[in-house]
Order: sequence, then structure tokens, then C-alpha cells
Amino acid sequence: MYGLIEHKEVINELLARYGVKFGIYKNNRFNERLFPFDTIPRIIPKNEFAFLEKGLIQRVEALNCFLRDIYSNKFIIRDGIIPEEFVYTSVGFLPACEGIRPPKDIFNHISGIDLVQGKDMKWYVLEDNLRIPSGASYPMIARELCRRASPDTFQNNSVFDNRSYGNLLKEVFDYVNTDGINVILTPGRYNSAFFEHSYLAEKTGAVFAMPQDLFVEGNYLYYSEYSGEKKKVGTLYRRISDEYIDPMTFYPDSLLGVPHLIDAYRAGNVAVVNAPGNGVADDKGIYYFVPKMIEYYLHEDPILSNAQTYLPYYENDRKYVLENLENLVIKDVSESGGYGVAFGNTMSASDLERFRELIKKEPRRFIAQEVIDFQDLKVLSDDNKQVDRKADLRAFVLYGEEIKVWRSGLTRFSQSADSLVVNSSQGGGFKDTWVLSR
Amino acid sequence: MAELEFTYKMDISFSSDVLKHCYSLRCIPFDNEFQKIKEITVDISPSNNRTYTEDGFGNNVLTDRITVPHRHFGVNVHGFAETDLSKRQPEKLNGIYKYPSEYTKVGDAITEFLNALPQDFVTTPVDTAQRIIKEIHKVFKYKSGATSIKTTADEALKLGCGVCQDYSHIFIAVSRALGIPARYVAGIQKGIGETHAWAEVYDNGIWIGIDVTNNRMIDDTYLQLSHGRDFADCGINRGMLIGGGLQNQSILAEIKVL
Amino acid sequence: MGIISIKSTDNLFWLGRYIERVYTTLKIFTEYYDRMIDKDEKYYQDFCSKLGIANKYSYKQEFIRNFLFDENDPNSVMHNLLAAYDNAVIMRNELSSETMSYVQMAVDALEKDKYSNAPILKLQQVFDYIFAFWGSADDYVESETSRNILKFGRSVERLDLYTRFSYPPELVKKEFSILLNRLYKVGIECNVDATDRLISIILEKDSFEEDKNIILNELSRLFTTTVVY
Repeated sequence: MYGLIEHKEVINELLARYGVKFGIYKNNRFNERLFPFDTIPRIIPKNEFAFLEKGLIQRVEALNCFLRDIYSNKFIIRDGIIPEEFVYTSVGFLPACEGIRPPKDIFNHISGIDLVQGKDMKWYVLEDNLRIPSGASYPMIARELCRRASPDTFQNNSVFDNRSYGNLLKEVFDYVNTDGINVILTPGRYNSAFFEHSYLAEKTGAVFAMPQDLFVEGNYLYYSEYSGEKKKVGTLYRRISDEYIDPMTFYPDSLLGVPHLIDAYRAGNVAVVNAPGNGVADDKGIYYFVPKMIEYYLHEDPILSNAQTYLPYYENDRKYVLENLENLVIKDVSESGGYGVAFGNTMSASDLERFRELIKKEPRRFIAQEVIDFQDLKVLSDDNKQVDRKADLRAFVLYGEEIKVWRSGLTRFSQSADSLVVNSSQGGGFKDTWVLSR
Repeated sequence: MAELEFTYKMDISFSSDVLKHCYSLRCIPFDNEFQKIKEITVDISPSNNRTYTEDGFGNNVLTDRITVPHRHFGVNVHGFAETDLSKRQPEKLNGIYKYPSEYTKVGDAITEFLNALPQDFVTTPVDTAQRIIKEIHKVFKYKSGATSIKTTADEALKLGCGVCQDYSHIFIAVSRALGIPARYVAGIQKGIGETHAWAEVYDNGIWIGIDVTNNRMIDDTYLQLSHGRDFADCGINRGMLIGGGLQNQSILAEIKVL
Repeated sequence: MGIISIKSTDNLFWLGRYIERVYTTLKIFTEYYDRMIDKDEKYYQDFCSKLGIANKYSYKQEFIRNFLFDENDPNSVMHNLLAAYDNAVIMRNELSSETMSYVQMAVDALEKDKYSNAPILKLQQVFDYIFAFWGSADDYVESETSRNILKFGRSVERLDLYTRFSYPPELVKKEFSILLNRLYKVGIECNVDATDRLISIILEKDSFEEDKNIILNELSRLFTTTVVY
């Protein structure tokens, strides 16, 4: 593997050449920066991944059941499994989507499930991302370059090829397609994940569209061609968040959306990937209930564990949280992307007190978790030393005719040794994730 | 029971060409067990590929997209309905009507209002609703032009005056905060004028309508166009247009009891 | 594939134009640069006037530096290259990552060159990447329509610059035939009026000095995209 690791610099140069970038807004200015790649891969043995695979498929299936239920019968509320206010006051819950049955009843076509491995080698799910999870393109293109850099490494190790992600995605598009073309919709090049949007369009062969290229007429979605012809869209993989996708239903001022898209979608004339309204299922408050969903919908024991989580909403949990705040991670359920996360052990006494007051005042707004002692991964430092960094794994689960787990994933690591936050908008870099086939 | 003749007319003229125009109209009355539409004609100009759909709240929606430049947009809905609220059937409650929505958030003014209510204020839904309305009328006066379509319940209450939309929002915010599910209704009332808005409270499976502005129960002389969490879900004309310049809009809504 | 929107044809056209603008102005620039070494310090004034840009440069070194690298100067090579990049970056799926990468590398090379003590020497890299870009486009841009629009943009820009710098009429005529050929292939709406006028001048006359402005004007009207939102 040394043959691979030593080429870190060249591979990063090649990544730059392909424009593998990550956009961030800082002081109202859009900047693109390279997403640093570390050549030491995360390696997941075959058996271990088989276990993860089973657990992820189970979790994603239950989440899809939940979404179907919550926008129709809501049996899970009736049966007292989830308190209704966790659903109705969730910002991700969209009443405008009530009663919609998406093509093939699939809501979460693409799930990005964030996991960490504890020092005890046990995997924990930290977060489900069911809206527009990003990141698959980075390990895909990195693998391409790593194979060029060190073919021997891949010859001597049996690693599942992860470059098939484009095909997996296309299979999903085709499966839910309502007899039209596949389109990937980007809000524009000033989006943080623009590289990925354009790269996935290239790899899936889907038409790459900006909002003004699309329109709805007579409850059908069309792409307008330069010749003046219109092409019916069967699957829309939109990389625009829910609140902006249809100014006639959501934010009226949105210029990024396609007017009447929700009408076409409700009429069953187009598959929208992922389904609008999925935010209710990856809400930090709902996370607590995912293991219960698995029991409720699938009548199975959850294979994967959540991090130990407390809901201040429940009196017993609240008591525990208030007493043990200095040992817990506090998350604000309305924030995402690594924001709104506070570690009790780094807070001053006055901050702790402030948080206690906030939790007492708005218990529904927070969840608290035990800090997981992450397994460290080796990262090559600038002076070529191997140093320890915290890392997580975003597994991608694709829901088409079958539920498939992509045999790779995005491994992100923190920028500094003492940081526990590995979100890419907060600095840090990424690794390839090897899943061994033997 | 009542026989109603209804009219909804809207005319917008633009000072320059509208190049592209998308709209969703919620001006087609419900046709259900207590409000039967006997006859209806819908004229819209210009029109391209007029499409009838339903939204997530069960409202009738008429949509279209026009790419022919125009300086006038006209809607004319006319017809006859037979209303009989006694025939209203029980419905399952959608939990969204129990929690604050965008326009009905509980801010300082609503909190203050709630705190001032006497103890044991909450009894049955309808009785409580009537008492809430009495309290609202003590501190809130009718005045047009003081608020806009963007004013929330809390902002309106702070101002102390507003129109039917504001009355209804304040009522809904208070009612939900007191544990009584409530929703917003857009419709037309007896006589000639603009469209109207009122509220409904959920009582044992049945939605009961209350005209908050006029402090009276809804009867068979009211015609329902749409309902939802608040005004945002019930926009009679929601549009997006490019071009058009200045707009001049006139609306006429009329119910004749036959 | 072959499914592209009006906006995309516009991007391809302008990508072709900007890449060509960088290439040909750089080529002309190096000729002027050479002459400025021993003959005429202020020769760049002629360059500016031919190109039709304001001469806001007070001495040779300032001209060289700013004309090449000042991205805030809308006439600079850097600015034009970034404009090419702007049009390319949203067309990755049409162009392919491979072809895209040469625009990216040209930008990176020019940016790096900014800090070099022999900037002119290092411009060679930018030329190399532009050549590689066209080679890659031939190989990797699958849609013939897209390739044609791209090259159509290149021809328009080339004619524009050849006209401004009074290139020999044979060269202009040759490039114009390429353009016409391309035009019939593109299969998109082009301004017939403008085409006719250009034909009547370029193909029928032997000198274009008097008609310079007409040619430039008609060229700019040739590709008419009306983006209707």
C-alpha cells in the first residue's frame, strides 16, 4: 500500500485538475476550496461490512415505511410510538405533501447514513441524511486516481470497485422513472456541492439542468430544449432543498424552483429524488425513534445502534441531561451541517447554566447524547507523519428495485487532533473507503 | 338549507407585458356533502393548459402557465350551490391543526393575551371559541389597510386592528394554544364585496365554522373555497410572473341567497 | 445524449469564444511584446486601439502585468479565461470531466504564472492546455451539436480578432468558410440577415478595411439565443 500512500501530493494535484472542490460562504463571499484527500484508506473487512450492510438496509427500509406512514395514515402516532408533536412541529414535515404517493412508494432513494466506530470497534449511527445527502462523488473520483497511482495496491488487495456508483444511481432513476428522461437539477454553480452535481450528471448520463430549463404544464414536468421542443421528465434528481423547489407551494420568492412541480409530483407524473418532505425523518429529534420504527414497521430488532440519546422532552431524560450536561453532546434539532452542536465538556460554567435554562424552556428543541469514544484513523500529516484523527463514515444506501448499500462510503476526518466535528463545511478532509471483497 | 348563487371575479391589469405567468387559483368552491355545487362556469383569460388539481389540504386548485405576453388577467367564477351544514360528516383530525403555523406563532402579544384570560376559561370547543372571540373583540378593532397579507397573528394583535384575515389568525393562534384544534377558511359571505376569511374549530369529529370578524356562527349562507393552517395555505390567487410592471387589481365576490 | 437547453448552447458558444479570445490575443500579445523589447516602448497603445479597449496603462510593464493577470480588468487575459471557466464549469456533463480539466489547468497555470519572474516564458503552458482542450473536446464531447456550437464560437471569435488586427484577407476568407460550414452543421437558429451581409462582404471583396465595423457588428449578431424563462 506504500505505493499508494506516497503519491498523496500527485493525487491531490490531479483532484485539483478535475475541479474537485467544495464551495463555502465566508463573510458573504463564495469561495471554492479543494477538499484535501488523504491517501491512507479506511479499510472495512468483508464480514464487518456485511453486518453494516444488513443494518443499513434494515434502517433505510424502516425510514421509508415511516415516511409513507407519516404522509398518509400516521399509524405510528396513533399507536403512541412517536409523540405527535415531534412530527407536527418538525421543520422538515411538510403538510403540503400530505397524501402524496411517490412512484413505486419510494421516498428515500438516496440515504446518507453517518456512522462512527467506537474504540470498542462497535459502529453507531450518528445521523440519517434523507434529503439531499452529498459526498459520494469524492471517493469515486479519488479511487479512479488511486488506481492510476498504484495499480499494484489494488491488484494485491481485494477491494470492491466503488466507481459503479453512477450506475447504481442510474438504476434507481430508471426504476422510479415515469416514462421520461432523467434530469439532475442544480441550483447553480455557487452551491457548495456543485462539483458533485455536475460529476454525477456526467456519470449517470442524466441531463444536467438549471431551474430555468424546466417547467410544468398540464401537471407534467418538461425540459425545454434549444430547438424549442420539450422533453418529458420522468425522474428529477433535484439538488435543491425542499423549501425552494416550488415557489407556488413553498417559499414564494424562490427563483431556484420550478413552479407547480409539487402538483406534477402529486399527480404521479414525475419521480422526485429524494421525496420532498423527507426532512421529517432525518430530524435530530426523530432520530431517537428510528430503532423503535424498525421494531414497529418491520417487527425486527435493530441491527445497528444509535448513539445513546436522551430527549429532554421526556421528564426522566431531562433530569438526567440537566444533571450530566458537562459529559454530553447537545444538539439543536433545527440546525444541520455540524452547526448547533455543543460539547458539554468544553463549556464554561455560565454556558452550561445557559444551556440548562434553554433546555428547560424548550425541551423539544434539543437532544443530548453520550460522547462516543471514536476509533482514531491514521492520517498523513503535511510532513508525512502518520497522525491520529477523528473520522466518521457516510454510507450511501440506494433504494430502487432493491435496497443496495454502496460498497464504499465517504470517510471524513477532522482538521485537528482535538476536534470531534468531521463535517466538511467545518474544515478537514476525506479518505477513500475500501470494502474488502475477500 | 340554502340555495346560493355565487360569483367570484378578479381582474388584474398590468402597465407592461407579462412575459411569463404561472398561477395557482383556489377559487373553486368545495363540492361535498354539505356544499353541493349544482352548476359552475369558470372563465379565465388568458388561458393555456388549464389544469385542475387538489393540494395537500384537500382544496381545489386550478393551475396554468402562460407564455403569451399579456396585460390583463381575468378570472370569473359563477354558479349555484346548495348548502346544508347539518349534513356535515365527521372527519379524522389532522394533527397539523393543533400546532402553531407560520402566521399563527405565539409571540409576546399572543402570550400576553393568553395570560390575561381568566382561570377555567376552557370548556367545550364551541363555547370556548365564542368566549375567545369576545375577548378578541375587546382588544381588536376592524380597520382595513392597517395590516398586509404578510402580517402574522402576533403582529396584528400588537397593532390592535386589522381585517378578517387577522381576526381569524389571532383566533386560531389562541385556540390552538388552549388545546382546541383550529383551522383557517377562505370563502365568500352573503352580499357583495370582497372574499372573506373565518375559522373552524374541531369538536368531536366535526369542524364548526365561526366568523371571528362578525362574531357569529357560520351558517348556510357562507360558501367555502379552501381551508388550511392559515392564510398561506389558502391563497386565492398565488402567482409568479415575469414582467408586468404595476398592477391594478379589482375583486368582486358575491353570494345571493335564493 | 444530445438533449441540451438554450442556456447550454449559449454557454458552449461563449466557452468557444472565450477560449479562442485567450488564445489569439495571447498570440498577438507575444508578437507585440517582442517588438516592444527593442523598438517601440509604447507599441502597446496600438494593440489597445486595435482591440478596441481603453488604454489605461501608463507604461509598458503596467500594461504587461495588468493585461495578462488583472482579473478585475474586463479586458485582461485572466478575466477572459475565467469567463471561459464560468461557462465550462456548468457544462461538465456535456464536455466531460476530462475536457473540463484543461480549462481548470489553464486557469491554474495562468494564476501561478502571475507570480513568476518570467511570465511570458511560462505562458506556453496556457497555450498547451488550450490545444489539449480542443483535442480533448474532439475526443470526449459526445454530442456533435455541442462540438459544433463550441467550434462555431471559436470561429466567430477568431474572425472578430482577425478583423480587428487586419489579418490578411485570405486568412479571414478561410476562417469564414470554416464558419459557414459549421453554421450549416450546427442546425440552430442563426441570424440569416447577418450571415448574408457577411457573405456579401467577406466572400466578395478583397479588402475589408472599410467594412471593419460592419463585419464586427454582424459577427456579434450572428448567434442569436433568445433565452425565454
